[in-house]
Amino acid sequence: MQKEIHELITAYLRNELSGKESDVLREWMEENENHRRLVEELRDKKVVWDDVRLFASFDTGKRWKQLVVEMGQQKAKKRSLSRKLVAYAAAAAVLLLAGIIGLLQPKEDGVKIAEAVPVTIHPGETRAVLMLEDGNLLPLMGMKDTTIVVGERERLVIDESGNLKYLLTENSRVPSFHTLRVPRGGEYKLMLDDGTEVWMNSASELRYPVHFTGDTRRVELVGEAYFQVAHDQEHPFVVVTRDMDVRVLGTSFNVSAYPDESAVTTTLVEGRVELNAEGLEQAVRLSPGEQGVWTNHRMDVRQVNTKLYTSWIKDRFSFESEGLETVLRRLARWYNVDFRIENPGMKEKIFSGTIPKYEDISKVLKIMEMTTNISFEVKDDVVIIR
Amino acid sequence: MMNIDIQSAEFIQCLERGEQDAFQRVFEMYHKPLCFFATRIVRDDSEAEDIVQEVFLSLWKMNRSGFPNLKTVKTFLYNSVQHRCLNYLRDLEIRDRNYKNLHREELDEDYFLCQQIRAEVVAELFSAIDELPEKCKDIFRRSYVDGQEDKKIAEELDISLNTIKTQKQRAKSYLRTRLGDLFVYVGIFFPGL
Repeated sequence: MQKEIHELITAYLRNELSGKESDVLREWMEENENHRRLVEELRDKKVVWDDVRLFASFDTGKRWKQLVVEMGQQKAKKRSLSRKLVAYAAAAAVLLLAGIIGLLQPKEDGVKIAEAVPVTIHPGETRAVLMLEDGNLLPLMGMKDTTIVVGERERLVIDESGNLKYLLTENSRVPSFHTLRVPRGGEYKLMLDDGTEVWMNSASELRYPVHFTGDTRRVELVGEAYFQVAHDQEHPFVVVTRDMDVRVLGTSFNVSAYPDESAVTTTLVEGRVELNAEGLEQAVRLSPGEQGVWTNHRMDVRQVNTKLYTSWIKDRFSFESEGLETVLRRLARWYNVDFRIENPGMKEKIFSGTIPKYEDISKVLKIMEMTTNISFEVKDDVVIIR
Repeated sequence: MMNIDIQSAEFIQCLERGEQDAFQRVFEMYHKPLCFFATRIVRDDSEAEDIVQEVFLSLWKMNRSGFPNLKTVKTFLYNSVQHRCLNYLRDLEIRDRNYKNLHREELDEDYFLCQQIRAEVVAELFSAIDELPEKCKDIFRRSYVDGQEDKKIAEELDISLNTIKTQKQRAKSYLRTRLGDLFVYVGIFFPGL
């Protein structure tokens, strides 16, 4: 069995690493600066011993005794009066159900009806619909490494990872517009005619000219997308949203403008952007690491950890002090489920953290259940919060 | 219970059924590494211990079915601790507007991964000390971890100074075989060893 990284590091510190294992460890260290620094820090004897000392200071035995007490309290609580009442009520309900079933179906198989059927809801896949100028719809789901001829001269290439690229002949200068519509539960990446890369999040729509002409490169966005704009000083790139425009030269940023969220947020990773909205006296400029939030005709600019807002393009959801509703809306778009909050008190909950995307939703819900006091129940395509 | 292999499917079943012995073994295995891990994030060891305690309590309360093996339990524990640590840091920030988490930028996935690896490396080193015979370990701990003087240890344990010397000698030769080159680390910081 292949040794895990911590075993390799320990063996290295003991000077017991085989040649092959050294190669594996070296490769891991070269992956990035953090890895290299970790191993170097651990080579420092003082660091190691301070670590061991800290490690030894945690009193496992004492903590276990405390935990046993708390575990017992949990059991005691279960036997409280209200629980008892619920149990009686449930028993009564089961009797009633059995009675009704008994009436309808006098045979013996009626009992199983109350059993919950486990439902697995799978996360969104890469699928989208392309709407052509003439209104024709082209489903893009599941097509990889193919070329599609659209109209007379335009050729669409879908590469092996399912991304969309335009290949145009010099003659196709007529500005025709395409709309890429990514459904709930979907996600798509496309490269525009000028080389700009766009990662579309689920439930989003982008309208763009097949070929950019004129002074500015304009696209229209509903929903969320991450843009890596190809640099072109002469032709600014403009993202038009419901009530705000983002104007850029060449840069990476994320725009979130969902119809069901009150704010339009632009998060700048690198480069420079200008935000313009109706009612704004002058355009607001963002520097890298800044986020412009447009709500109720007001623009707020704040410093953010951009990773939190762009991690969705890298298979992770990140949340920083977000309300339960916002978190659930984002999960709903990706997993294509609806959430129903039956306990309004839960809306006050604030979340931070990151969750892997490509796991089925039950794992995500489990992580959330574990780390909060929320409990979920999955019924068909609806997740209920009690 | 105690002779079931902790890596086996049988053990996972015991854990799933809610057998306290099985749960205790998981606790004993991951308590210190998780506390260490949490301290590396929140930089406060007593908060870290409380966070780990909450996570174990919720593991006990939750439905533990669906863990195919011990590794997934471990991943789950680390993820939960990490999540709660982040919540804790956020609450600090909300309560105290002047509080600035200086290490914020480095709190990314890779940082957490590195801290988990670090906790596991330290656990490995610590386990060598932990394997010492009970009496020997107690003396080692008092002397080298808590920094007590031999005389005080002799008084508290009601044993002779000579016994302490012998026990320390035993610890020393054991650690030398068990830790290989790493023993040098221990030796350098404890010249008396």
